[in-house]
Amino acid sequence: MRPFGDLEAVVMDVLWRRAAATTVREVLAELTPSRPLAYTTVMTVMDNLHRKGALSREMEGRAWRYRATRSRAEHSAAMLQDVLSAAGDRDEVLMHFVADLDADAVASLRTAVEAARQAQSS
Amino acid sequence: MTTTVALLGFATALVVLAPRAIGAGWADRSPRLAVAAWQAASAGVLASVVLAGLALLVPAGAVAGGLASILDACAATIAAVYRSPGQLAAVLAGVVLSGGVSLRLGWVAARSRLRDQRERRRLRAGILTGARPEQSLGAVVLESDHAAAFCLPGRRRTVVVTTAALDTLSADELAAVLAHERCHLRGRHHLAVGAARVLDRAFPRVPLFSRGRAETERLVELLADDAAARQVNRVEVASALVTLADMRAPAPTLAAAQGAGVHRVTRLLRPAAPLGAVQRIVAATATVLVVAGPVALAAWPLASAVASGLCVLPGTGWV
Repeated sequence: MRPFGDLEAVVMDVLWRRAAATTVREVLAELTPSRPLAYTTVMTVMDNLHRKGALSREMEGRAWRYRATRSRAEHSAAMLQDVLSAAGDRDEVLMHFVADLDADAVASLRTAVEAARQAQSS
Repeated sequence: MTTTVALLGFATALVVLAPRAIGAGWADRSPRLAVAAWQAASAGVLASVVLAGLALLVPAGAVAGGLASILDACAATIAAVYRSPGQLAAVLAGVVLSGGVSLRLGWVAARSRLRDQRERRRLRAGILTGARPEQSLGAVVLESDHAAAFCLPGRRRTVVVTTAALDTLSADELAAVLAHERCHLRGRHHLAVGAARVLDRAFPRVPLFSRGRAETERLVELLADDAAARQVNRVEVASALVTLADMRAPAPTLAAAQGAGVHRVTRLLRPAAPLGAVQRIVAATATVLVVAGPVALAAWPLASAVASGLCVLPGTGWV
């Protein structure tokens, strides 16, 4: 799963804040004070997000109404899972406290840790 | 020409011998020195190759007279190129060695830096928007049923712990994890790891660089483990590693990675004596020499010219 690009993140932020289904024009209106963008730019970004599955849409009257398929919390959780289990290049930008141990190694090392703890406290 | 050959010989010797010397088993007993040794060996190889190229371009005597005579020498070299075909080959080789290596390295470094910055920004935006800073921990707490702890280096340095990790770890284990991550951030370990990765990416077929990258990644973890062990307790660091590994979703682990994980925990439980003073001094001296060596080799003809009194003073012209 790719993190959102800069513009995509801005658009997703608007859609997450407005729980209701939203048109391109409404997103544009909300963004204009802080970030003036062309209508077609926002439309393209939202169309891409729909294609990637981040947004669902339904025709209402003559305009598409978009809705985020996942909540912000669900998205963060999925991305975290992805980053921390990934062998991808994103584990390069963070340093993860982890050691690769299978169940057998965990069991035997757990015993060793307990033994060391006993020895230390005695 | 002799200088170039000597420098290339030095680089070759380093590429072959450095991995054996640093990988000889002492590294885990002094990870900080070992990281420095890998960096020095890499820097030594790069310096040798670049200087070897430069030595072909500028006749050694020219450097003594400062910039003006370098330009003179440059003009003389260029003029000479058109006269002798042998000289042209030398200049081309010089340009490829010094310019090519520098440009390749600069290009890959700039691209990696841009990409890392972008990825970090996106990660922050994607993961940390809903997270709450916890002053008492000096960390950001993230709502998640996935037990994990990590740090994001860079301009806005952050230690991140998930709620599941907070629930799972004991107070001492948590303190150990936080100390470990803070050591990464304080020591700017991402810079050492990043430099090793850039080298490996820029020159992928050099075993010194790929070993150096893997070892640097591994050694900074040991370094942070040691810092956490000093601040909290080595058994608690080991315990935290086992606890968090236990909480992870079972995934197929590579045998090598598994071995490294086991080694990391047992190293904490049965620590080897740190390196003795003599061994440390030997390793540190070698580390310095490896970088100073190529510079000395490149400067040798100049130094000997000055010493023999044959060197022409600046301003009186260079011929």
